[in-house]
Amino acid sequence: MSFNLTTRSILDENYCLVLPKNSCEVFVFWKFSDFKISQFEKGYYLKNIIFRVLDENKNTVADVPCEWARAKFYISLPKFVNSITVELYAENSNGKEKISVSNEINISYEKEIKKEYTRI
Amino acid sequence: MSSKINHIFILHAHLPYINHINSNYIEENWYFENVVESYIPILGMIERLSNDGINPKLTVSLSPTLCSMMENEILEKKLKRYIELRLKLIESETEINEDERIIALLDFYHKKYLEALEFLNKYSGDLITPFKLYQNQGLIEVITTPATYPIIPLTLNRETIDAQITLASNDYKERFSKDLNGIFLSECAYDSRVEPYLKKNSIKYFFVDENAVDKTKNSPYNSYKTDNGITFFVLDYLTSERIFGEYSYLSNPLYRDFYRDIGYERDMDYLKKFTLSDQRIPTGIKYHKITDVNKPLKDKEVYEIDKAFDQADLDSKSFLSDMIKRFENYQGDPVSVSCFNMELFGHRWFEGVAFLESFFRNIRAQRYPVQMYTPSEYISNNSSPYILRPSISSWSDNGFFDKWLNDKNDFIYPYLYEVTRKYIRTVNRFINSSISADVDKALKQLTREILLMQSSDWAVLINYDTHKDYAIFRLKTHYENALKIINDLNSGSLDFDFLKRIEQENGVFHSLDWKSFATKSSF
Repeated sequence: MSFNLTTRSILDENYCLVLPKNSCEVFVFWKFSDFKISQFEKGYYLKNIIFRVLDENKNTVADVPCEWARAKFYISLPKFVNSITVELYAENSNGKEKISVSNEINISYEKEIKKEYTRI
Repeated sequence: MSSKINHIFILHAHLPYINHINSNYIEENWYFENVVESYIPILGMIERLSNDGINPKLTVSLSPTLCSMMENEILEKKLKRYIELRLKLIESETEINEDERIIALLDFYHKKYLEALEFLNKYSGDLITPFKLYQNQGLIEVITTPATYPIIPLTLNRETIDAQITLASNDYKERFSKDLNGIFLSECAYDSRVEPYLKKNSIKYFFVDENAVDKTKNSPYNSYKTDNGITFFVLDYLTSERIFGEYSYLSNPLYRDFYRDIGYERDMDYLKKFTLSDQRIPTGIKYHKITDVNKPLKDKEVYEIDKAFDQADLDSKSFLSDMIKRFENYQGDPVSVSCFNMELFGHRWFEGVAFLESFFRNIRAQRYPVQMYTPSEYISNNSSPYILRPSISSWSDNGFFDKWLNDKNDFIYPYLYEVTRKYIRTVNRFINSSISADVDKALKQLTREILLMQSSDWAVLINYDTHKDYAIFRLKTHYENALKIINDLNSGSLDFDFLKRIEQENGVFHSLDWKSFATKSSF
């Protein structure tokens, strides 16, 4: 076997999950069920999915498009937030369909002032 | 001005669980090198200090995977063979070298390896016993880490965090016959999600990197409590900067050069007899000093051991003087927490154990206003009035997680997540059923494979491209083993030969109870 990432879930589930990389960037990965993959392959949805990044107050921070088959993506955060959640949307002529909501992760921004501190 | 500095000195030791029955992987040497060059010399130092009436009050962090290796009989035999072969190599080198300085050094090495062998024999090959003994004598406080050393902020399921902390706590109790007071979170990586599980296991304290507190508001030289009532200490990075930084002790021209080793110089046919490897690997037999950090290896000068050890004593005094100077104008009594990887002393920094020993001796001899504490002792004498929630952080270069999560190694996390979820489904299927001893055994081994895959070491090795193939091999092995056991359990046909083989190799956590994981959390 090889560790090549695909969007196919061995659990046959649709989900997306997010992990903190640093204060400015998070890692998101997603998997789809066989049925959902067939929908993408048959063109039921557009090629690009959309990640809606929400802050701790559930305000939208950014909408980030990405090709559905990529399986992973790094999202650069446009501003400092305390925590984030990502919603995964697929899109077609009927509009946007929410497929999955990620876990919530905390990201602190306090460290950004680290170098300005004079010790003691 | 502070009247005294309260000091906590942590030596942190961790290795991924590496135990191969029928083959010699060079990665096993990490354990052997650390035992001979660091763990045994440090244990010897504690004994000498104690004999002279000096209580170092060291804090020793030992990961559960390393503890398992210290008790493993197969590794014990391999370790003895490793030492015996090094002794033969030293004897062979003594015959072919003529330089008196090198002969004197070889004599020193010979004594060192013989002492290591004697130490192992004294404790019947079990290295846990002396740590336990010194803890019972009040000379050290032993703490531990999450079970297989995952990075908590990169752990997706809260249940996995629960399992890693609970298993570490139970493993510690069983091994050291006492409750676990403190934990060193893997790579000091903190995420507030860990706190309920620390509290559940009655863990009283942990440590965070300086990145975890806003130092414009809060001094890193206080201890704090989280809103869950758990104490945390902030690592004093300036102490490590004196060791590692640009003008650090470690780069002193008199100290032994770490990189120049006869394993990269002698003929391969000659070396193979002693290293049992077809690859060029370090032997620990090194003859040169740093000389000048900018000089190429070939231009390094011959090492002079007496001068280097005198320098270690001077550096320990300088370390203490610097610390006192830093706190001259500090209001109150600071608590400074130094933390280093244990293998820095002796293995990476050859004179490091001498430095440490001088550090402890000089506090008393020079009457430095430094009061050594173990964390438990400090907490019992100084209850922190400050409540604070640390930020998500690690002790990595920039305080975050880039080292364990980037384009090179991010593939690990989706695979790990899915196989863990499959594991959950499987244990949940069996949790309320009456099962045979064989199924129980299979579920136990399945749990081990999942835990071993969660180790953060694989991501680090892939990130640095060092031993990348080995890391991928281990990830694949644990992933495939887990899937095979799950499939066999689902089909009702267990492969007993396979189970026996992987249980021998990956038999970490003997008393692991998969049922307790499943009923409480199921990961």
